[in-house]
Amino acid sequence: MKVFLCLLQVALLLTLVACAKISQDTQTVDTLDRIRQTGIIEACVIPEPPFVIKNAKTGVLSGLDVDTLNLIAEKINAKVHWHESGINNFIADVQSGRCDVLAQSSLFAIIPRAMALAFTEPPLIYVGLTAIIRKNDTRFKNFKNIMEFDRPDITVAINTGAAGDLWVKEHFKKAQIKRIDTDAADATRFCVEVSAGRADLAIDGVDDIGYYASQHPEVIDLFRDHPFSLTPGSWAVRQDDVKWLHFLETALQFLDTQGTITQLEKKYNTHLLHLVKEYKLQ
Amino acid sequence: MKILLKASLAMILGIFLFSCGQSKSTIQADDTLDRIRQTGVIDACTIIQPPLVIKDSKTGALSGVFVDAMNLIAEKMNAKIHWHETTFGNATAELSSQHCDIAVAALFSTISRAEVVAFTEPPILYNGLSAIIRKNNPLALKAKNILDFDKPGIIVSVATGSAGDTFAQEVFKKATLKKIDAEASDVARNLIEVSANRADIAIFSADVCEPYAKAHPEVTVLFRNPPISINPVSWAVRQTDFKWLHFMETALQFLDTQGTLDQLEKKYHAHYIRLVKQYRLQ
Repeated sequence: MKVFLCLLQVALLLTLVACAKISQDTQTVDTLDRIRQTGIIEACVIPEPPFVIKNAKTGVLSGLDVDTLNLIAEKINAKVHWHESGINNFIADVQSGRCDVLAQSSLFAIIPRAMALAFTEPPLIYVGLTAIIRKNDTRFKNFKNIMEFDRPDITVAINTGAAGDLWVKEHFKKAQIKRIDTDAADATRFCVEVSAGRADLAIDGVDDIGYYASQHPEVIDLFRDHPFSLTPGSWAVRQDDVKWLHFLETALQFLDTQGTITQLEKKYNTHLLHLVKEYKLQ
Repeated sequence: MKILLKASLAMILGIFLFSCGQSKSTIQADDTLDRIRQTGVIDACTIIQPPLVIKDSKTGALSGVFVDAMNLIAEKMNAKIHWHETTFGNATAELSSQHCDIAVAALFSTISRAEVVAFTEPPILYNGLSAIIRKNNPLALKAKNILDFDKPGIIVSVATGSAGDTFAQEVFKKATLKKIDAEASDVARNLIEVSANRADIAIFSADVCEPYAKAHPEVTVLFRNPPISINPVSWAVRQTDFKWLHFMETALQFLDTQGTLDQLEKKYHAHYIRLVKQYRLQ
């Protein structure tokens, strides 16, 4: 009898060890399941019109990404709890579980970030880069390539942390870089440096630069029709949140295919760069 | 006492097998990305196939479109790559046995390979299957369709485990298949069978047939344009390595969107079939 009890204890111990091993190997986040149970999606955003617009008086959020996630939430009978995040803490916000998704299509899906978060595929938008110079700056009449501006006597104004900043860090080695901190209220503040003659060139996305150039006749948009670099933008989730990631990819794909994303862009009078998709009866 | 002992042993076995049985229904995910973060080392298998993967015959140094692209990704991860040479026949086994974390090679992402490894999506490029034949073979002028060679007495040379091998096995019913085990140093060895008159035709990817025919005036390329079939080419990882797969997809997407893959093709004078992508402001 003692032998039996002893062996039984060994068996139970082995079973517990085996079970512990299994749970360790397969322990992944299951946000989708939790949302099914609680009906709540925790979403982080960074106010940046037209993607995320915060009403200064009421604090109410709207914008392309806010409307898009609200539509998805509605379809699964869930509510969105919105949390404000920032460019320096969004990774920690998602990884720590403060939010289930960073619903911000203006977030660049760059390789170092992909080490920490999983981005929805395919990209939601593409940000093309362009640049402005003063119209009366005769030094660059015959320029052909953006790299011609990488000279020690050139000062380049850029928006800190924006697409232009990432590109300049990677490609410009000789020019002097002037980083300007902007806020949601004036995202084109760095362009003023060119108008005022404090910088020779300003680099950023075609949307911001294009808007500034249309309002300031003293500058010229150099790459408006042929942006010199494209950067993909996507939403981000935790890397091991496989089911939730896949669900969001399917939901975004559905809204894109149905034309909803295009309608939202029209609603917010926005013109973003997208991959051209043509459908044809075979 | 003996009966009690036997009963208890059977019970232990039963409990343990039950616990093991539970583990069969769950997926034990790999976490290569996490290991790379800790060790800073990526084990990459590759197959020499210029201009995608080039080996300097004197120094043994690797370069090429795929090698440079993977090096750029590793640089962003602050990781080093340990390169391992392999063959088309062994690439999937090298992944499954954990000899490497990724196959950075011109693997056609065929359905049969997708049964054992996971391919990055979307395909990096597309490559056609072509064939070579001796110029003095009467069939060189007559043949209009690859199936014209499916006759008794015709010898078709393929590299074991290559896409040409899979294609020939599926399509050819009457011709004799001659499978050649290629080595890492010469993956196109099956083409020599045609030059040496030991086979009538050899099937291989178009980018390998073209330079071979240029260097061997006794043969010519058949099914150059259009090729026998167009095949998607992707890199491969283990099927359960979800985070690593998703990371690689985002990284490749980034390099593609930024135009880096185009620049690398230009650098190596490569000309591959790529999906036409046009971007438009909505």
